[in-house]
Amino acid sequence: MTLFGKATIDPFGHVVDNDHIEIFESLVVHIPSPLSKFLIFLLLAAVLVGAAVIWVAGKMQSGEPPRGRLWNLIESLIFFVRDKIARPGIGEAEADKYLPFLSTLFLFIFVCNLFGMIPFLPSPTAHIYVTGALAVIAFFVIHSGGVKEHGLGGYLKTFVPHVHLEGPAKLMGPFLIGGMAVLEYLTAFIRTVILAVRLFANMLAGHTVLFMILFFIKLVADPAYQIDVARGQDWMYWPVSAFSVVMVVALSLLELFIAGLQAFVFTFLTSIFIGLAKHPPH
Amino acid sequence: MRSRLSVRPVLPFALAVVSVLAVVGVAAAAGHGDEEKSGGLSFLQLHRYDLGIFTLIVFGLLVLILQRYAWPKISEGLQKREAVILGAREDAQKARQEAEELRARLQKDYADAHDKIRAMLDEARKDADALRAAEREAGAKDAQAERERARKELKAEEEAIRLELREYAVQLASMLSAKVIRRELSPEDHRRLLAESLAELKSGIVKA
Repeated sequence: MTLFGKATIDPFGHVVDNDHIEIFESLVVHIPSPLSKFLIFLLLAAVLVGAAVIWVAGKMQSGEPPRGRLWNLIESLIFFVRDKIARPGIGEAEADKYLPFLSTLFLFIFVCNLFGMIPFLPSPTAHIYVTGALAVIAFFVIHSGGVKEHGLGGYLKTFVPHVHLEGPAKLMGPFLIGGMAVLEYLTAFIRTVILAVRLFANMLAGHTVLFMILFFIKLVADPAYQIDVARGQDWMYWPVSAFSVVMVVALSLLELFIAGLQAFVFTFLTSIFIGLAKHPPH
Repeated sequence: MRSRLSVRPVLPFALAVVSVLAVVGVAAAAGHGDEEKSGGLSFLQLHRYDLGIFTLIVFGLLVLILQRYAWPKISEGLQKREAVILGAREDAQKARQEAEELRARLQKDYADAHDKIRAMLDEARKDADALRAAEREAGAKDAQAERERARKELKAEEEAIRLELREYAVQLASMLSAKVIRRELSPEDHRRLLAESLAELKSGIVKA
């Protein structure tokens, strides 16, 4: 792409979904239509999670203690979801009922996030529709739990706050309660949107920042993209390259942490919302 | 059970993949065809709703497959593990209880033995005191008997000497009488005779 005769960059070019995987400018792997990069990696994530959990389930069925790194790793992730996400959010009594869904959700998001940490590969969770679909599933699980617990009418009533008013303020009661109930109903939907946006934005922004920091090298060294300050200043290549590489390594470590953290946050909030739907505070 | 479960998931997975690809193929073809212009919020790719549908299907299938083929086994394994852990805990508690009982019994035995030893020591001390007292009494008796015996011996000696002295005195008187009979004695003779008799008596005592 050029602008006034100069090549321009698309910082989101490698993060968004398309029909190719660009390893180098000279090496591009094309994906046959109607498939796309994200479709393939979403499917790959599902296959990996499915295979891993089914494999470890076969091992666990015997009741033997875990042996080997992979078995320990997958089992510790499942127990992490049970002990740090499901039980604190939903409660000891009902957490195990939701553990399969929450574990699958956590592992699926985590694997999708981790794909983005492999050079040249995309993170499907950097798309709002992917995270939106997961949030929609979470929405139905959260509120179906509430409906099952209280019945449809009872559950809808849990959104209506109990306000105790005295004197002339009592006249305002219906308006206040009605307004707050509308806000509570909206909150149920807003929470779902926020779940989707938080995960999508974190993944998109993280990978875009990594790309831009590495792109500094091209901005000083590649004549096609070179900025005016760097023109004729060849010495800038080395310090800028060193800075970019060091920063990218450091931020990649941070991204690795964020990949786990965002999977945790999405699943943990879902678990808390399930708990709130089943045991509302008012 | 194990072999059945390890093979079966492959089939639903394959079916799921094929069905998802078929559904998404149609949606993706529609989505790809409606490309947005670059710039602005184009990076959001809001025309790619096929990704949302695909995610719903893939994730939904994943949850269903795992619900069917993985979680029952995991649950079964965890129950077995829980039973083993509970069994081991019960055994450990039982062993602990037994150990505590044994310890209590040993402590009681130790305390009993300690009391017994103390009683034995007290008895031995009493016996020793009694023995010492008895020995002291016997020693005193022996000493008294020894003293009595020595006193009796001395008395017997004294009596013997006294008898001997009396014998000498009789002999001396006999000798004096004999001499008196033979001649008249002057005062000078008396003195001499008395001195001679005393000297003889003295030497006789010394000899005795």
